[in-house]
Amino acid sequence: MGSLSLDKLTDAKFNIEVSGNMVKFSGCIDLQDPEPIISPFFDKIHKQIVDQNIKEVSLDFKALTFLNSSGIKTITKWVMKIPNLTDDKKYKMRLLYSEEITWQRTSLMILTYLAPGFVEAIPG
Amino acid sequence: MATEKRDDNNSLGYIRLSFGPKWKYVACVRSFVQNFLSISISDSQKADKISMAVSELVENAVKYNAKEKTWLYIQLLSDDGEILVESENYATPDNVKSLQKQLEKIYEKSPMDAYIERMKEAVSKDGQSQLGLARIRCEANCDIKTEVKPDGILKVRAIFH
Repeated sequence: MGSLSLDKLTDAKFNIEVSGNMVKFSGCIDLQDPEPIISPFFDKIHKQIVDQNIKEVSLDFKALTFLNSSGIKTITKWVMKIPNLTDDKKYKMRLLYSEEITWQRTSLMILTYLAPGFVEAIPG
Repeated sequence: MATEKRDDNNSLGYIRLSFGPKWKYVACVRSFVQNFLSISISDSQKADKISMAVSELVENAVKYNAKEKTWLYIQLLSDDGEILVESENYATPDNVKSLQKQLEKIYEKSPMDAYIERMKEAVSKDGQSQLGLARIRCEANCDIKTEVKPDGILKVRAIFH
């Protein structure tokens, strides 16, 4: 099975690192318009997943202290690509969150409703 | 039943901030509000949710501000954690209309259904997410109302139960 390979996305207040089949977030995403920075990065990850026929990816949010609604939009855009894939290309997305961080419990759970059966939120 | 009107004299506690509407101050305001709420209400999860909501309201007030100055007012309404939050900013008539329309649409459905619908709509459009109000209503469990004052200041009020 394939493995993701991308340079880290670094901004003043957050990092997004890709390693194996894990996408790890750290810092704080509260930019006024994060889309031009984050969405192209997510598009690259999604493309690698589809091209390499990867069946599962984990997004680890435990080290992300805050995510504003503009940041949520970027993740929503990615999540909603999954149901539009052909059946043989669809993949599962695991959202790993900390139960100690309130926004993670509430915001990430909602994302599972956008791609039922393909996105799950897992506390850890 | 606690009054929903702003009343500093009979308040259990309040803060009032005004600041130049610069995006870089939003994080400072969020941090300050988080600290205020953590010492004012015992339910830490509720404090976190309200902090998130206040951050979203302040973001909107800064984003859609037509002039200098944004105001934020937070008042404790009761001993069991009922909180009033008001954000104010000068707003153009078009932005007021847009926000009121968003709010009407959000209230046509349950908080979660409205939020999910809003997420799906936001993805199909470039530009501002316009998810903030739906997020606040769903994740922070509050009622949101708007009022336009005669001087063109838009007030957004949220009551957290």
